[in-house]
Amino acid sequence: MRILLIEDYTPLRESITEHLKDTGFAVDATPDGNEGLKFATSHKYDAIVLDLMVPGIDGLKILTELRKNGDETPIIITSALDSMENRVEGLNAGADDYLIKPFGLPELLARIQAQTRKVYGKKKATIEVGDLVVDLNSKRVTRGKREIVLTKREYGLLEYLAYRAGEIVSRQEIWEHVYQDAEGGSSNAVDVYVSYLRKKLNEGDEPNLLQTRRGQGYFLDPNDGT
Amino acid sequence: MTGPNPSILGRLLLGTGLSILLMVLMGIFIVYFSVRNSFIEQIDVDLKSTANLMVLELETQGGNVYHEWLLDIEDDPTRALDDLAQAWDVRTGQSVKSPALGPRELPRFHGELNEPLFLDATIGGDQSIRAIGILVNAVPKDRVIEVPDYEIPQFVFVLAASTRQKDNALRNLRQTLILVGLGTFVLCGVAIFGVINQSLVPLKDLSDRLDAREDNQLGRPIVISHDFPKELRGLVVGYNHLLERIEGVRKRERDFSYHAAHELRTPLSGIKIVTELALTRERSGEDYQNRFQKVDTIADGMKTTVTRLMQFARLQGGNEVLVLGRLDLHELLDTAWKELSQKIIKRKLSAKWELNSEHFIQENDAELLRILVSNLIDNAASYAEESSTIKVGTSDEKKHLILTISNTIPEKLEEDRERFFEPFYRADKVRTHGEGHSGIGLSLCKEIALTIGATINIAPTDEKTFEAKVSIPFSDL
Repeated sequence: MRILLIEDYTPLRESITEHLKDTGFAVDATPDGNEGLKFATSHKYDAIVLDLMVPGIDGLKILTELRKNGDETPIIITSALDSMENRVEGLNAGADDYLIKPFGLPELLARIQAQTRKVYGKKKATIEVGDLVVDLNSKRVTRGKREIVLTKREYGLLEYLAYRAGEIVSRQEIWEHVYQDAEGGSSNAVDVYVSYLRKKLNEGDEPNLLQTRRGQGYFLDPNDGT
Repeated sequence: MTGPNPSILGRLLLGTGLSILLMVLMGIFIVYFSVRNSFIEQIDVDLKSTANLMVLELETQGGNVYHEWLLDIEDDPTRALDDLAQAWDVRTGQSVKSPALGPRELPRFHGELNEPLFLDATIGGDQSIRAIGILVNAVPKDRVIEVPDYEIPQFVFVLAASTRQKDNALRNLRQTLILVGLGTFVLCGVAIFGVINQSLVPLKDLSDRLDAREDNQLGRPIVISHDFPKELRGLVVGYNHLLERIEGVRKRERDFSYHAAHELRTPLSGIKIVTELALTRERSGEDYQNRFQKVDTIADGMKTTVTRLMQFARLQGGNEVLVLGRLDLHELLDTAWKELSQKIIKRKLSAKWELNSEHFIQENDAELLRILVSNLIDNAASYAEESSTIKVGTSDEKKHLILTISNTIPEKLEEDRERFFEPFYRADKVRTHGEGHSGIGLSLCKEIALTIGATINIAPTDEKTFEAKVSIPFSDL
């Protein structure tokens, strides 16, 4: 999942970014409103965490601008402005959630996950694909009774594919939602991680859950691609 | 009634009561004396006409005096009992009197010849009378001088009428008038009390309406309905105006608390998240050290905010005591500039100094002036366009030291200049945490200026230049 964080207060921005990355998100972070709007309009994000009082274009204007252009990315406002008027103004402008500072990292994470689940039409905090279970909260993955230990990158890739289970997901989409811009490399790196993930998911004669459609991409399917 | 809380009702009742009492008394006085005078006039008319007739019956004939009037009285049994008359011979002093007088004597008095004079008197010790006294010549009966050198005798004739009946009537009139007056006074008093009370009902209603207000309705203005008394309109308009001003002050206070809470919330959020993150897993000692360092930096920023808030509150509350001493303003400016060297280098700023004041040595509060100067320079350095020049100048003008600090700004500001002095107000809504900004620097400058008797003004001098101007009165050294 790829998150855009627009927050000018450095300690907050750095810490939230670090935590989201630790939990498997790809994060683009910026302290500036103008730059934030540029990011939001040029990339496809799974959620945007937006502070209202940022230099350049303020948060409310960014929100209004995105909604005016038909962008439906979930937007979570984080602000120290806690009055009812502020919250109503933010939500009426098109925000999906409003989080008042000071907040805790688990709460922010839960709200981001709730919003991303909504985007992909998942109400439960677990995604089941055949006998594969992905727990979105604990980041644990099991197949049957077997626990599968994944790296952060592998988990991020599986989570995205699980959200879109049954659909063919292109390399480019995976690249955009799972990888950081600053990480360099190319979408070919996706193939490498898909192959690592496939090895961990399928053991022995278990059906292959992660299918490749040549020239189109990958898809997670419980029916062995048949 | 004239105590610390005079009563309107009491005053109105006292005022109108006294007025009514005065009017009733005047009415009684006028009626009583009119009736009394009318009685007296009637008696006088009767006495005068009777006396005029009676003196015609004081006759002389052949040198003898004849009191025909007395004979008439004596012949009439009613008059013999009632008529009170007496005549004195001026020459001999002898008198004759009507039988009704008995042993009593009428007072002897008179005016000029034939000019009647009236008198109130008492005879026999207890009978009040009204009397007429006339000096008259006896009337010659045949109008012929019978005796040569005969001098017509003069008489003092006094005729009196008992006033007992009149006195009784006047006494009754007095009693009636007092009773009517008292009744009128009481009735008017009750009526006026009712009218005043009724007139004060809207005032009481107003007071009840205000008393009944809930805490969340305190600032709501009073609506003037069409049946609202005209006399209270001014009071209500004034009250509403006062409410508006109080609401303005409350809003500023609310904003201040709100912004203060807001300014502290963001760094608090930073501390919470940095520590939470640090505790998510085991880390190396160096990693923990870096994270604690971050928390420490945030805490320093919060400390700056809190310190300035305290300074601001002390200055606003008038609790700051001036510590006067000799100081060099040019040196303060230089120090403030040097303290900001990191920011100045980072933002590639330069300074143009025009220090022309000859009164830069001041007798003033060095600490307050230091805060004032460093806040203004810090503000200019924070909001100046990058790679621009900040102008700092001093000059002397009309017994004042003028300090000006100006900088160019990236965009034209369409703001109310007074708002720059509002705590936590930011023209561009940008926080500058970690750069020593608490958001109350200019508010603090304004309070300091007030405390040291200076004035401060911040205004754009053109579309892209912003100038802070402080005018400090010369101090006696």
